[in-house]
Amino acid sequence: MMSATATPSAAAIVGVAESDLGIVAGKTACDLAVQASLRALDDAGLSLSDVDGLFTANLSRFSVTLLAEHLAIQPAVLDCTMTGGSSFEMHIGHAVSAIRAGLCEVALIAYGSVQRSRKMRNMQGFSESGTSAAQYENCYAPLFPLSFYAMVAQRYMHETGATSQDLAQVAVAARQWAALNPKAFKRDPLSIADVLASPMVSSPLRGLDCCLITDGGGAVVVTSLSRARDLRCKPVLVLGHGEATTHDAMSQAPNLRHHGSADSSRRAYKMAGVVPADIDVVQLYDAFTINVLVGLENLGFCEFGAARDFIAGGRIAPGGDFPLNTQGGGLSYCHPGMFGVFLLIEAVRQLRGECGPRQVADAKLALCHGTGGIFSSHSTVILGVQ
Amino acid sequence: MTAPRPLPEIDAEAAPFWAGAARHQLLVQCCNACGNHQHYARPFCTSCRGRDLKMVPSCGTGVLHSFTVVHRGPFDDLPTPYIVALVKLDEGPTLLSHLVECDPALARCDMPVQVAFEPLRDGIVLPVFRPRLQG
Repeated sequence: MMSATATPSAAAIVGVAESDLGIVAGKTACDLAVQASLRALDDAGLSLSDVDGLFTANLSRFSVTLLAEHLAIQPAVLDCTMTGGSSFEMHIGHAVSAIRAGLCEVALIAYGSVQRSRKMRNMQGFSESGTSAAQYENCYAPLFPLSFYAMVAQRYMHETGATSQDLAQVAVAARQWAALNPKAFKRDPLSIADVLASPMVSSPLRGLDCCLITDGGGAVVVTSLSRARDLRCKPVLVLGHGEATTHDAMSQAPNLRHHGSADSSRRAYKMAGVVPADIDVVQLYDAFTINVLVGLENLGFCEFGAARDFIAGGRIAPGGDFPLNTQGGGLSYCHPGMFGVFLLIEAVRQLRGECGPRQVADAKLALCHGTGGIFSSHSTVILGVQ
Repeated sequence: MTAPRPLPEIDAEAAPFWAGAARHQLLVQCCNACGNHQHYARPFCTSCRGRDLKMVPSCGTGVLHSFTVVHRGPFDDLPTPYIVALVKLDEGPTLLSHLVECDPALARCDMPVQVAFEPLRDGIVLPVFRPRLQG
């Protein structure tokens, strides 16, 4: 059913880059967004003066004006949609719409964070005044967002019989991919036993079920397909995108196992004219190990309750037949607060065939799925090459 | 470990819920048109979108839909481990709360629970839940 054909009005990703990653001292979040932006434009063979659409999130209160000022540009389209880790997949959808509508021609999506160097994370996590969580929930001291993912995992294990070993498989596979990626933050060998021996934080999730806390930034350049054809890199077509939200506070999630990702991906598959079985490589936001199990089910790669069997036997690890999070994911590669932009960067590199020892053979179609908050927001992007 | 856990922010919509808790009553909102119960209070029914609602006492019983035992706590007025719980009330709505008077090793999804009340500070009382013996 695969039909990765582009209409004349289609858009393509033509440049991607990370900033310096890991522990990056002496920089601001905006500095890293700028560094990644310049590298992504270099990758595309474009310059700052070509950029007429700018998309970012969470650099500051007025993120997009801050970044535009730092880049010394005055774009015609501005967007700082902020839905957590799914923001950047939403930016792709919004950028493509703007390009199709003729509002801009070259869209730059950029992000940066120095959460590790600035010690911006603590156990309590995020709490914000004026929310339903502040009115009814924060007084019970859930770790935010960890405790919600833990309760999803608890219910998932209760209903499906999945175990902590099944969750640990996800962390081990991520580490095996990271070992193939020189840019990954954690590359030393990791075993199931190591994950199970890490301290319980919010049961059933242990320390090594959780993503890294690093600094870093990333950027993606999107343009019209006609403009892309004049550039040096193979254009990576944006074939479909979709977004969804179901709740903001923990008590308001309509279902702990059926998520907005089912809706966002259904919209993306429909737009792209593909089905899950057509996808060659998947980048699925792995803030916690449980995200991969429930994500595979909601994105339609396996039946509900079947993910533990689906990933068994190293299927999502290097050499398996379902390559997932091939850069090492948020669990082992990097995780500067929000991971969404890094899903896109790796998918593009896989589709261009640039991934060296971790390259997926003949990768033609990639799916990126970003999640934000506490499974609150979802955005799916399907990319392809002809 | 420097600050106590936050008090609930109480606006006009949330005030009846917290006033009820202070008198050891768990209140939920009920739609006069369709009978839907909801938590938290809103100016309309999330089921039929009707605008005629009232706060009513919950029966206070439900099941532990899910839970997590927090082992590394951020607040010095709440020793670990403590059990954060999603409780599904018999009337339908789900609340975030604590499971108390329960050995963390014995907590199970779907176990029956019933409401109890714990003072926090400054006159705020938190609805919490404890295991309910099935009769």
